[in-house]
Formats: sequence, C-alpha cells, structure tokens
Amino acid sequence: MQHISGDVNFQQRFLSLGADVGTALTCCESLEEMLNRCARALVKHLDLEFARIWVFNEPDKFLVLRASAGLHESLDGEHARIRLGETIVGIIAEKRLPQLTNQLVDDQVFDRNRADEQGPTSFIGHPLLVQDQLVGVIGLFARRTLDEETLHGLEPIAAGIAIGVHRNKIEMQLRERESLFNHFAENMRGVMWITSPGGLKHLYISPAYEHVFGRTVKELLENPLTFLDAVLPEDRPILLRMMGADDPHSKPATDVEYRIRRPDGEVRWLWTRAFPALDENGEVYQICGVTHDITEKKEVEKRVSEFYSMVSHELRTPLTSIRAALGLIEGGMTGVLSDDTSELISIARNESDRLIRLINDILDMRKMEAGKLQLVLLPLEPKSVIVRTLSSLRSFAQENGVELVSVIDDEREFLGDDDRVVQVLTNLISNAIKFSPSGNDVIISVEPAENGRVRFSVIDRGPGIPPQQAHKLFGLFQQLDSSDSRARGGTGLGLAISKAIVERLGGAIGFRSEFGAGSTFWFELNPVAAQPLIENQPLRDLLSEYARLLPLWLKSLAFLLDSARSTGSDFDLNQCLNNVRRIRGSAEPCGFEEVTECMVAIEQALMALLADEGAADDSWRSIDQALTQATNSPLAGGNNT
Amino acid sequence: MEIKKILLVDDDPNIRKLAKMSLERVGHWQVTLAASGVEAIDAVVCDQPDLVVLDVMMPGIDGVTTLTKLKARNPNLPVILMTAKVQTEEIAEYLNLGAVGVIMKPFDPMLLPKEITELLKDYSQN
Repeated sequence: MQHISGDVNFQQRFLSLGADVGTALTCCESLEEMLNRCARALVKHLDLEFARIWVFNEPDKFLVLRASAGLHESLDGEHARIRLGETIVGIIAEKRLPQLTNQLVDDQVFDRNRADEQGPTSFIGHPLLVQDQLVGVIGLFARRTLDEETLHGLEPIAAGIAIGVHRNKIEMQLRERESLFNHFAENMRGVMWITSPGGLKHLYISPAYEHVFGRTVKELLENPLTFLDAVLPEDRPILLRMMGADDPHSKPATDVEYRIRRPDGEVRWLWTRAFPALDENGEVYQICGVTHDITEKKEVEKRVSEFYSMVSHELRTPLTSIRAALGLIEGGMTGVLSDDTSELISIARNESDRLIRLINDILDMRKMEAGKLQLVLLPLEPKSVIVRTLSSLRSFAQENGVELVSVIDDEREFLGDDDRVVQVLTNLISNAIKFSPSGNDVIISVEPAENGRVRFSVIDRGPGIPPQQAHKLFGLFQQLDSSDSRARGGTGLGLAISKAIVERLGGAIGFRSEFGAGSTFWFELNPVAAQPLIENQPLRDLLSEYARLLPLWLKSLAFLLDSARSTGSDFDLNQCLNNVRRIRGSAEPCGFEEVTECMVAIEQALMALLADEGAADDSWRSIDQALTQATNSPLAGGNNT
Repeated sequence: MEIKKILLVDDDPNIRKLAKMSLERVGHWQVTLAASGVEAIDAVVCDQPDLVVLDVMMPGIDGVTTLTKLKARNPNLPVILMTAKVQTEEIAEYLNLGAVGVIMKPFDPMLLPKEITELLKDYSQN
C-alpha cells in the first residue's frame, strides 16, 4: 500500500487538484459536467479508486448522486439516493463534519458486486457547505491509506465545489424565473412594460404590444414617440398625467383608460395600470405596468347602458298611463267612488307608485355602478337641507302618527349635491317613520362629529335591527322583514343607494341599534371651509381644530376642483374660488404660511382659468401641485418636512 | 302669463287621453291633441294654443327637433317637454333650445297642472 505523506509531492498534488477543480468550476456549462470533472480530478490527483459527489435536495432531504468518476462511473444503484442521516454519507451530511476511515465496511456507499474484488478500504467524506447551508457531500474511495493531511487539504477544495454547486442552483432558479416571466409575457394578451420615470422611454415591452398596438416592438424601442403618437390627442393629457410625465418623481396614479388609433385606422380602448418601482430612498426609478385592450368590454358596457336606458323607458311608459289613470279616478275626476272602489283604487295607485320608485332606484343603482352618477357639488347648509326634506315628509309622518323633531347643532356648510343629500335623508327618515310605532317621535339631528365632519343622525324608537341582519343592511334588495316593509312601500334599494351617494361625496354612513329599543342611522359629510375660525380661541385649541378640519376642507376642495375640471363651467370654478379664499382666510391670520401659499397659488390659477388666460393645462398643473403640497403639509396631517 | 288653450303632443294614445283629462278637469284648461311632431307643427297654426306640452321620445321627428322647429316659427310660444329619461345635461340642452321646463314621466295627474303653472311662473320671472 502506498502512503502519501505531507511532502512536496503532496503539496504539488493538491495544487494541481485545486487548479483542475478551479477550471471545472468556472468553465462548465452544466452541473453534471462540472461535477464530473471535479470527481475525475480528485481520482487522478489523489490516486483514488473512485470519487463521488452527491448534491443535497432540500425539499425531500435526500442526497442525490450526481457524479462518479474512477472505477465506478454509474449514477444508478442503491447509493444513488441517500437519506439525510443514513449511512456514513448521510451522517456526514447531517452532522456537517468530515469523516475519515481506513476500515471501510459500509456496503451502502459502493457496489460490492464483483466477487473477486476487494473494493476500497479507505474513505473520506466531506460535506459541501455554503455559509452553513448543506449543499452536498463528496466521497473519496481508495485502496490505500488516507491520512489526516489529505482530509485537511480537502477543505478548500470542498468549499470551492460547494460554491460551484450553489451557484449553479441559483442560476437554475433564475433561469426558471426568467422563463416563467417570458412565458407570461409572451402569452398574456395584456402588454407588460417597464419605462423610465415619466413613462416616455420604454425599457422593456412584451411581444403582446405588437398585437394590441399593431406596431412593432423594434419601432417603439427605436422611437419612443410611436407610443404617444398612437394615442388619440384628446386622451394624451390624462395619460401623461398618470405617468407623471410632468413630474417624473410623482408617484403615478394607478390606472387610466384611453383610446389609440392603430395603423389600420381602427380606434381601440385601452386600460393601463402603472405602478412605480421605488429605490431605497423611496424615489421612483422605474415604472412598471400592464396595458389591456378593453374595447370589447367598453362595447358591452355601452350595450348594457343602452339596454337600461331602453328598459327604463319601456317600463315607465305603461306605468305612466297606469299611474295617471288611477290618479284621476282616485282624485274623483271620473265621479264619486263607493268606499270599496275607493279602497281598491288606492291600493292600486300606491303599488304603482311603489313600482315607479323601484324603477327609479334600480336606475339610480345602475348609474352608480356605471360610475355615471352625476353630482352637482355645492356647499350646503344643514338647516336648509333638513327643512327641505322634512317639508315633503310631514304628511307621511302624520299618516303614521309619527312626529318629526329636528335638532340643528352644526351650522357649518358641507359638501354635497342638494337633491341627493335630500334623497339620503328622505330614505333614512321614511325608514324611521315606517318602523316607528304610532305616537313616537323620530329625531333628525345634525352635529359636529369627533372627526370633524358634519354628522346627520336619524333616531327612532322602532324595533331596532336584529344583530344577525346587521351586516346585510346596506346591501341590495335587503329588507328586514319582508312582509312588513314591503307593505310599507320600501324598495329594498334605499340604503344601498344612500350608501353609494354618501361614499361618492367622500363621507361615511352607518347605524347603531339596540334590538328592541330603536336605531340611529347616521351619515357624515365633509365640511367646506365656511368662515375663519374664531380669532379669540387660544392658539392651542385653534391648532387642534385646524388639524381636524383642514384635511376635510382640502378633501372637499379636491372634490370641487375635480368637478370644475370635468365641467369646465365658470360656476364650478367660482365655487372653487370661494372655497379657496375661505381656507386662505382661516390660514393667513393664524400664520399658517405653507397652506396660505398653496391657496394663493390655486387662487391665481383659478382666476387665470376664469379669465381664459394662458394654457389651461398649466393652470391645472399648478393647482394639482399646490393642492398636493397643502395636503401633505404637517398642518394637514401630512409629512412634508 | 294667461293660459287658456294647451296643445298636448304625445304618440301614446293613453297618455293623450289621461293628460287631457288631467289638464281639463284639474287644470280647467282647453286641450287640443297631436300625435306626432309633424301634426304638432300644423296644430300650432290651426289651434293657436297658448302653451305646448310636448313628449320627447316620439317616432318620426322627435321632441327635440319638434321643439326647435316650433320655436323657430313661434319664438314666443312656451313649450314644456315631457320625458321618462332625465340626465342633467339633457335638461340643460332642452332649456338652451328654448323649452320652458321639463316634466318627468310618470306624472301625478292631480298635480300635473300645478307643475305646469310653477314652471310657467319661473319662466316668466326669468
């Protein structure tokens, strides 16, 4: 038996081994080839019978034989898969400690299948580790004595091979991800894209672009303007705004619909959703997004809309005649009626009224769902809204033996649409009347809420809401006790519509109820800056009032500005102007400079718009910037520093 | 403004009957009828009404076109439109074209005359 000792020869062997392994690790394409070359190098330089390399499979905790060089090159056999902890190789893997033995008897790590062969007598096993992570095991099998020095010399070699295996695993994962991404990108109908901040330069665009836009990716990458060129001129501004083209560091809004014209002249509707990628400083360094062709969806929407329009007309036409005929009879215009006839006509007329309300509610609901509900936003006074509502409900209340009591504790103006707020109040109050026992009061109150909003409440002493029904209350076609309230004329949509209206106005709606003791239905709307806060208040109080109200005033202002932007009407612009002046009127005397400056900027831009001076786009841009700045100012609860 | 005679225009015979009954028996006005835009234009010449109540959705020439034609020949003749549909921008359009106001269908026949009177009052004040 030969004995290789720590002499020059030894060092030389390990140097050569190191060199070969190094080469194998850096220049091989596949894991197989790399490991085989390593194994062969081990056999060659260390005079081994054979060498093996197992790779650890983390999910099922098995060591899989991936390379075998020397006398045994087959990768099949019982030792091809070794469980962690079993046999000497498994133990080495589990304990992460190398082993050396010159009395190898373990049959499980090699094939003792030739009767006349003695097989190896010595074995070194070394774990392959990358930062404590087990990556595999190498096994050296010799028919000569192996010594401790060899074991130590193996350490750097094992470390190198471990890194090689690990890197290969990572590369495989990366390639898999990339191929998965490509699979998505190429097969999705939607266009996936990445642009520079501002959205004008495309860094990546998926092949679907060609299908959706009818132009080539190559053309787009060469000339970024081909994208914007395709967009219809009237839709370009909102698209650019969304992409933050005027302010590349703005975090863009989420999605937008717009039209393009394809080279063949066809106009298509597109929907784009963009999300900024932020670097570690929170700055936008890329914008990623998806674009879908929604032309079919738009067409369907249009057909549905037209259908509803037609249905509403078709349903209303016969109802008009029915209602009118019954009304005339009931009104005595065809002669005196017997008691029986009068009663029957009354029932019929009531029910046809109910049908009419139902159709109106359905159409309202439809308009809300389609986003088509048009609200005329105005600063409203709580008192006048309540007075108007109550005037039309008094007779209904009287019929039910219920008295309406109003309590006005907040006179601040709030943002709303007159008709719609009355609709909500009417809905809540008529519900309260319907469910109140005769002889009781229904209280309608308005007061400042803790969060600074204007809160309307309708309080009744009716049966209350059973807890299990509570969550369904604002849903569609929900009525608590169908026998009861259908007879009282409800449509089941009132609360759902009220909720939609209130939420569209930026408010909130809810209820409190004690089953058996009555209910309070409330809704809150945002106040509009009305008059300056009282100068005599101590500054401390003023600041906390301000902190509560300013965000709500700004929110109301934002709604008004949006409305003015879409209608372009002077009336709406003047409304905004009044509001801005009021906010300024509160901020300036208090010395709140940042807010004051923002309001001044908005005021100037609005006046320019009213006078038709300068580019409207520029004015709206300054308004946006100033509003954002005001909203982000510390006084408004933002975090501008 | 003194109204004695109203021309009622609607393609639906039921509405014609019912609205006529309402305007005559509750409103105490004289009512003549037309079943289409074309008939309406002739009827204005023949009957010389003080007010036209005109349905918007009609086959043939629709309410809006009829309104335009009527106003062109009779700028001082008040016209009120009746419609089952309403969008705020449509109302604005009708008013721009010279309508006195809009009445929603379905209407309450006992209140229809009052609605008309109110609309006329607002109109003559402005």
